[in-house]
Amino acid sequence: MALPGLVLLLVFHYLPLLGNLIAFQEYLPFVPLGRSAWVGLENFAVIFNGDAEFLNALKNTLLITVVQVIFVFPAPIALALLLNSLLSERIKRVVQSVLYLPHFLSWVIVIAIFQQILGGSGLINNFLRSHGMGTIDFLGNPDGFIALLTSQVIWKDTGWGTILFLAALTQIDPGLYEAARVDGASRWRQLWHVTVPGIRALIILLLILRLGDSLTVGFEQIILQQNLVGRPASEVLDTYVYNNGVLAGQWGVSAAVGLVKGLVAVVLVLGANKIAHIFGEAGVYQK
Amino acid sequence: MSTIQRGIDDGPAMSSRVLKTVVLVVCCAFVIIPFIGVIATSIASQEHVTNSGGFVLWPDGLNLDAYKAIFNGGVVQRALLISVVIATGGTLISLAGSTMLAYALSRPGSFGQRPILLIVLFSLLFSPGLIPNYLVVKEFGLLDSLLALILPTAISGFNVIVLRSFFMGIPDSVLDSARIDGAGDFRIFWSIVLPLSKAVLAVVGLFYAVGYWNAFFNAMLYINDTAKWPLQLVLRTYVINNTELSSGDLGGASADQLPPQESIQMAILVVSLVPILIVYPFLQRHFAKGMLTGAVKG
Amino acid sequence: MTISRRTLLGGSLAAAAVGLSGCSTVTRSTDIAALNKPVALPTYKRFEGPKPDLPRSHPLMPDCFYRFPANPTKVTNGVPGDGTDVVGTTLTSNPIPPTADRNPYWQELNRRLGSPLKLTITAATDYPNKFATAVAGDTLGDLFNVDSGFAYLPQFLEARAQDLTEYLSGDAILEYPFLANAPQASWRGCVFSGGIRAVPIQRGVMSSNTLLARQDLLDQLGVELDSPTVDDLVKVAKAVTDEKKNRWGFAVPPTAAVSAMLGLPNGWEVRDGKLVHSRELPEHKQLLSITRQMVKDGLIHPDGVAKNNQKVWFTQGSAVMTQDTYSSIQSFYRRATNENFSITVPVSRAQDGKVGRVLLGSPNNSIAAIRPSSPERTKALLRVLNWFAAPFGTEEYLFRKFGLQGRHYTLNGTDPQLTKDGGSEVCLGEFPIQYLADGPYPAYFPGHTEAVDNLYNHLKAVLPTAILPPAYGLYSPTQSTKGKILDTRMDALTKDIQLGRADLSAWDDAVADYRKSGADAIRNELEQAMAAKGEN
Repeated sequence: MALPGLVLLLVFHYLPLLGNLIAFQEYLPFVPLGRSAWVGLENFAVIFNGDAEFLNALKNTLLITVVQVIFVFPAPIALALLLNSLLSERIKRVVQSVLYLPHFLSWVIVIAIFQQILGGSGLINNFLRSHGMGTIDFLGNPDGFIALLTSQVIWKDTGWGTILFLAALTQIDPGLYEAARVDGASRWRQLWHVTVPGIRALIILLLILRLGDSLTVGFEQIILQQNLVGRPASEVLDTYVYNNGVLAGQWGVSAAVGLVKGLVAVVLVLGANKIAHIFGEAGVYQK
Repeated sequence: MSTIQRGIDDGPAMSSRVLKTVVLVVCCAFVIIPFIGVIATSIASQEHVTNSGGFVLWPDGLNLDAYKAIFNGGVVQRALLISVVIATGGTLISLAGSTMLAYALSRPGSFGQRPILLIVLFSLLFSPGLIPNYLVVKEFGLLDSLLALILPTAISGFNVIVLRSFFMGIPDSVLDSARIDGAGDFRIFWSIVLPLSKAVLAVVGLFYAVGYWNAFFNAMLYINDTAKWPLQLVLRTYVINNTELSSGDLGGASADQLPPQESIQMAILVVSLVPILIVYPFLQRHFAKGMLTGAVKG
Repeated sequence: MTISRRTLLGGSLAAAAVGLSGCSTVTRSTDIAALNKPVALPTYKRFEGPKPDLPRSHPLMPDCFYRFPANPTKVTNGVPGDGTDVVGTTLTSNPIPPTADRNPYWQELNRRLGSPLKLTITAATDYPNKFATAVAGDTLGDLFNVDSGFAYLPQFLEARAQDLTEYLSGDAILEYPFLANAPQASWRGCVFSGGIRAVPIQRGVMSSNTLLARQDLLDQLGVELDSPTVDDLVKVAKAVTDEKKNRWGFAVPPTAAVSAMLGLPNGWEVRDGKLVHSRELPEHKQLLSITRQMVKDGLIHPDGVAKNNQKVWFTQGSAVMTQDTYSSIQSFYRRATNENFSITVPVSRAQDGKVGRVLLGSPNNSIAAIRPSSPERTKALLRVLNWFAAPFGTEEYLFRKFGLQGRHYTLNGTDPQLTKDGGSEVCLGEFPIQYLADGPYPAYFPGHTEAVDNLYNHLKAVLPTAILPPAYGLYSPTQSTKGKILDTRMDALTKDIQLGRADLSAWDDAVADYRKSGADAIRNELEQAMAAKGEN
């Protein structure tokens, strides 16, 4: 039964993955795949040369990942629980339909909207200026960049993210709530002892997968705003590779970085999975 | 049933109700206000758009020129049709492949389970490059075929893993009783597992459908014939316009014939959102209701 | 692993190998003399079509027209095509046109070409990716626009483009009078490894950047701009800036004007027999310090350094001056909602009162090449390109840009105006064939004769100072693989300095690093290239 899906994956994912061999070549698209010059690990230099800019990019990446795991990851869970606790089915649906809308905007548009509202001549600053007050640099402040990124992601994807959790909530056996009520459990206790455990496995699963993506933080979102705050504050791994390789058509470099990121992700996911097992959770897969 | 569903809404205190309302109203306002701006800009006049710096919060009238401009020439209509075909066909193919794969992985002990699971998982962590993808699609003769927009992205490792975790939540007892009644694997999958998983099927179906709907990159690479372009790719040519000599520099058209660029961009956004807004409520019904509960009890 | 790759990808490997024609050292070739080997450029023969409304005072002066010439005449005979399909790979900055089967313009175009034209159209931003995959899969068309950022361009063109030298070098080009209508400066960008391997999509001076000012606003505020020096410019900007009214002096930092005032070159320049880059010159630091001060004084739109929305701000009047291309003037007039809207193009002056030197950009928008073909086919494709390049004022041009009278355009006096159908079917007058070949770019702002006069007078004053960028048409391997990386790095620092995020002193270190990590190598290679071309 696994066959059709498996074949699709092997043909359209793993077969082209073999092309990542160009990580060890100076690949030129007009030279046949096998015949580009082999350059050993030269393409990996961009990440292993210990360049200060690279280290800064790595630092920013990890910082953003940590902040986002703390603030972005739980947001849809909280919202899903809140929605789930609503009395009226209709309000619940309306609210959810509204909140998931921003997911469908591309980053170009989201950032344009943020600029129209928060930019130097955006709605808020124009208002402040015309009333003789000082303006606030929301978008160009290097110290506030991570907060800005995080709020954009929350705005864009929280509503969308609830969908999966809402589906998980429907799987909880209502009998459990009934039993809890019979025992006189308060609503908070029900939440804590019935609802959260009911979706815990999913939360952990998603968290592990998110950890695998630790080195990937919104490339498009950041590169579009890099001019606003400058590179020192906004350079992350992906933008660094873009600015120092991809931009000049160095295909081998992007393949090399893809390989390294993949390997790191494997370590992180398997590691996190192991930790989940230690705590008696299912994780992504069991032994 | 409905009180049970709501579960924890057992005599909520007034204060918590107020708090919840405030939180939700604020959240909705944050989303709705910019969206009103999107719609307002799409129907605003050139003068109004220019004077407000490109983004209008409230329209000064109803000016449908941007929409007329988009639909003029029939390119967008055709692309809309193509997108519907891809999203529908693609979602069906994806759901079929993914659910079967996930189900096979959800029952411990089935053949090759571990390695296949790792294959699925690793597909999330390593991604192939642009050019190898292109060469594979080309070698399979899929260039300029709509299948090129479906097959390469048909199986999402993430969705398979999510489906699998939901399938694993179905109590063994339910499946065992069916097995005792002599049902085969496929039979159980089709008439028990799938009906019990409507919520997650709706969610994953939505994930796939939205993925197909929003995708433009593969179409940009694989589809040369503009008659087969999906909506998002066509719309992209309206939004992206930043080259040195941009439209109308040569001065064919006069002002009254061309709606403002910003209005067109926002109108495009509205056009691409409408189909999703239409489909969503039908799916939403499914993830608001627990199908499993009824079955287990009934 | 190898086996499955071979069997599966064998097809494209073989196809690609054919194109390579046995040249095994194609990668990483650093033989600069060979890559820059000169060739006799095509003879320039100006096509004497409709007479411009203003006399040409300088070879670089674009043809200035107040209105579209009346009764345009047909300047070609028969059809250029050979009857078989012509496939073009090209880009667009506009919405795509309806496909040929439902596009009367395209059908008529096919009829006039005498060959059905099939186009692969890609949005300009996506073109580098599309181009790279099409190169890898060997799926480029018979005619293709060349992505100028593509690494190892000479080697690529040697492998995958028809050598056009025998068809175009010297007087051979006279066979194609509209291609011969491109100046040699444009052709310089089409020579690689000792062969003419592409045709130019020429723009002349029209795509160079310049300072533009809203004359109507200046008049309204009673401020005189005239022909400013740096001090004058700052004075004017201060006079017109009024934050409370959301009005600023500049939409973006006026780097082109200030560079002109300081006498900075655009990129590389020969000084005392050596190549120097603008970034290395002391005046460049002055430029940075001036624009940094402008930001500090609040003379530049608050989003002006970081964001690219100057067209809106300038049209709307929240910026009185901006920097854009000469050709953009028309698009501003088109967007304007204010009846008095009027743009002036000031002449920059150095501190000593001399006319500031104009900063010329590349003379070409891009180049386009032909897939290796038989001589007969090559000639037919060149005839098609020649037809695409028919100049302003001819009947061919009128059809190419505006379609058919009645359906696609109506005449306002003698000026064609696109109808709604024209807008979509002819792509707003920019059918994507314009990136396969194009005629010279005119100064023509229909309905605004005063704008044509203004630009003409501006160019008449500044063109005598023009020096064509010496590095254009030279190939440096380091530039090809590292140039863009270095440029964006320096641009990012420029923004940091202008916005006050970095100190001006950071520039010196950055320049030292810039030289070390590539600029010195590029200079060296460009000098070798100039020697190889016999230009130094």
